[in-house]
Amino acid sequence: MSEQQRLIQLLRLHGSEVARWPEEHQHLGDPKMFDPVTLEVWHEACRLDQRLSEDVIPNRSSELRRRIHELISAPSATLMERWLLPFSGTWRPAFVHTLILSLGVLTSDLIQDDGFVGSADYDDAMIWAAQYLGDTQP
Amino acid sequence: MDQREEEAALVKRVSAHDADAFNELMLRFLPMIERYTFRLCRSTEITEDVTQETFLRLWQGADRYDPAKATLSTWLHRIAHNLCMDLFRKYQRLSPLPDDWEDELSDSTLDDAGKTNSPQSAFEQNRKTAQVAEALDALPERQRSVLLLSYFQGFSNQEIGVIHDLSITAVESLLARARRNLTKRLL
Repeated sequence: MSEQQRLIQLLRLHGSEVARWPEEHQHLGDPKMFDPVTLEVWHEACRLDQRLSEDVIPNRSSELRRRIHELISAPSATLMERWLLPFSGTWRPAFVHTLILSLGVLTSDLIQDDGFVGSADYDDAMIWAAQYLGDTQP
Repeated sequence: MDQREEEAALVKRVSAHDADAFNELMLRFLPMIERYTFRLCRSTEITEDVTQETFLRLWQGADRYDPAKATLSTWLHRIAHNLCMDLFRKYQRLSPLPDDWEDELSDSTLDDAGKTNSPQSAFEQNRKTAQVAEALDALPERQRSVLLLSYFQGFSNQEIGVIHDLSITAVESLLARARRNLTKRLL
């Protein structure tokens, strides 16, 4: 690979800022030494880098650090809580409501199902429960 | 003691549940994990959940970190990346921007580079940010992640290969395609 090809590849991979290039190639990155074709690629890379630098984002680090610090201060409760309620933020109430709703639907299905209450399965379950609880006369 | 050894020593203290060492590592690495996760998913909630979970895994599983295999930063980014991918799969969320994310942005503290002085310049900054964000989000997931790790997080191609389980050639190919796609959309 010629030096020009290598330079163009570096510009297309890492952009125009030489500090972002692998250290072993940084000595190649002087635009004054570029030929016209490489210079054109360099200008394009500069413009793209300029656009990318416009992507600024929210910073909530201190709040997050405080929250994590609180969590590690109560590890046992947190572990159980995280296992039972794996979501946080607005997902947590949504998860709890879904759980309650699902249990409600399941329970109402069982109660309304004529095939369960009074059925052989129901009787078996009652006998098993009575035996398990120590009552021999269900 | 070089930086890697110092971090390994801090991680060792974290594995013995030393809160001071953990706080030191949070100060060093939490902002970069938060930035990476936000740019990957563009959701404040997912960012907070993933960043929190990443550091809780450090707290609970610090003894799993092997400094011979990767830097701590690489290890933490790998955890955060995998957590994001799990969430994407779970919610089938292919990272469209939420409708209110520009409001979130203007309500929040900005990076030093984005500090603005007037509502007009804040609006202009938000508009530019939104354009870049949309272009980044339009990239296929792997191209986007590799570009974020390279351009915004400053990882070498080799380190990105460790985070993604990819060869350097594959990383270079993804990176070149990502920049080519962004050039088409943004210039």
